[in-house]
Amino acid sequence: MLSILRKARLKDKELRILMLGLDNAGKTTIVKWIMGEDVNTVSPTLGFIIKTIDFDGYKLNIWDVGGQKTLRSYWRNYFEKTDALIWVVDSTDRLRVADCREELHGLLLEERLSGASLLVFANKQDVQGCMTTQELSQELRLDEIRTHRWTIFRCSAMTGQNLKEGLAWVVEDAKARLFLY
Amino acid sequence: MTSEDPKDRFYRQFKISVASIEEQISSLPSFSSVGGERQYAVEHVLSSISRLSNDVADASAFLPAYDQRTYSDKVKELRDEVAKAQAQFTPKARFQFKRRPTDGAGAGAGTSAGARLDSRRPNPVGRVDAAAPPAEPKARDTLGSLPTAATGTAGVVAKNYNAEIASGSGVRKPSFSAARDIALSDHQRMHITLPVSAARATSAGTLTNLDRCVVDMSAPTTSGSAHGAPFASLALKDIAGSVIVAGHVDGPVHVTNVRDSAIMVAARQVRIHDCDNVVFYLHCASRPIIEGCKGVRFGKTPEGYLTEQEKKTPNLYDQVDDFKWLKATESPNWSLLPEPEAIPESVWKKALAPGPGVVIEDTLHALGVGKSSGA
Repeated sequence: MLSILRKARLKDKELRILMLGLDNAGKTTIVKWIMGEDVNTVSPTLGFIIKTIDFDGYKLNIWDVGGQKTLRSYWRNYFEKTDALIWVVDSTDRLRVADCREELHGLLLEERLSGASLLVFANKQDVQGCMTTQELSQELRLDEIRTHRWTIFRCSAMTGQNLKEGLAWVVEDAKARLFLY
Repeated sequence: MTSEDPKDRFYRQFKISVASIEEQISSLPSFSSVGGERQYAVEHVLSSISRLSNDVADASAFLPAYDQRTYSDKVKELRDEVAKAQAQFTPKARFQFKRRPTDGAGAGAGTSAGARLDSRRPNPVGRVDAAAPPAEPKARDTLGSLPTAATGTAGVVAKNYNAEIASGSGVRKPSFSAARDIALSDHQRMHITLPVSAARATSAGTLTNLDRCVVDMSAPTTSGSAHGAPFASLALKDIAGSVIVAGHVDGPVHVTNVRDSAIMVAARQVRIHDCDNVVFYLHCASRPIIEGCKGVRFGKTPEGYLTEQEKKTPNLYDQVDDFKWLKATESPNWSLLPEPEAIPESVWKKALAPGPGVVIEDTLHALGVGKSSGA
């Protein structure tokens, strides 16, 4: 049933992308950069932001939901019909990398997200001394993920590094997966 | 009249010098450990002693061997006294730097080689391995002596921060000139002033587990100054009864579990969690948020602590969003600091300036922290 819905939407070339992560990971800044907006005046997200962008002939609906503790319990309201999950990590935040792991692995247990692929954005790579993708893969135990197709991209929402490449992976993956059904 | 025996003249001069040096040594403890003042005093004494030692060597031409030995012994005695005085005001060695292991061995060549304070595990109390290396004041880094090595070279020389901090100087003005990031943790009753030479390390800052401390990071993070560079991001966590002058952050500040403190910072984003009874002096380019806080108050960063660039950008310090109060009515968890209650710039400058014999409680008190209303 889900796959039929998915196929229908794929005809419209529409993808629903859910962007989550701890607060201060840089989710909104990533969206802003992709939209070509000013990244210097981003305020913490009080609820959620939906942006639609055209990418490679596809229409990407990006749901950017705030990562504050208070909001995390509302994340589940956004799971339905998600084609891809983008998990944004603050690569400089060593203090909360354990929190980050817990939240991520908690999400992956969600049945309603089971059909979604996972893109991990290791954000803030422009900051000296941040964790590398190898380090983060280890800390977040990405290798243990068996239930989802996943990948990790180093990126920076300040410089825009790798953001487009990340989205391209999401689109390619969705195409391959959804046509397989 | 003037044709005095050179031996006698030397004897008198030597006595005067010794007296003056002894007086300097005895006054060492009255110097504040803040801002390197005591360190300078110690260095001054040491240079006086070496001058004296040179004088003795020069006088060897006309001094009998026995006198020479007596003079040399006295010089040595003076050196010992300095060392003893230094040992007295050396802090309990809780200040530990640790070189973060580059994870992934060979593959991790690109990982940061930052010298970090051990921020994850609190040092077991009583573990004084930091005091193990012998005192070696000369090894101290002088201010502004930035290594010219290009950033990103894999072979950044590992400095022995342990020895440096334990070098008996008692000055909490650690050199960060070879460090890549700043991570201060587990301190009590300390006044820490980051030198301008720390600027290379200001990419991402972390301050954790501080109790009754005064931390001033405004100098190395001011991009207007010679070497300054703002933090790319800053995290403050588990801080009580302290004053943090965090300087400038060209990105987000993440504050968690701070109580009975005052924090001054100019940043692009401010996120405050689980704080109680904290006064924030902010310059914030976006709307600050609070979550799980009570009794937090917001005032403006005094003008003198802002860069020209910051003065031009709007300050949204008074437009706070409370995640625990998503209603139209005013949140009971925060309020604006009434103008008369705000600590004026002159008081900040005065309280943070190094001076001899300053007690940390006085500094905290002057900046509105640790008053009886608090814990």
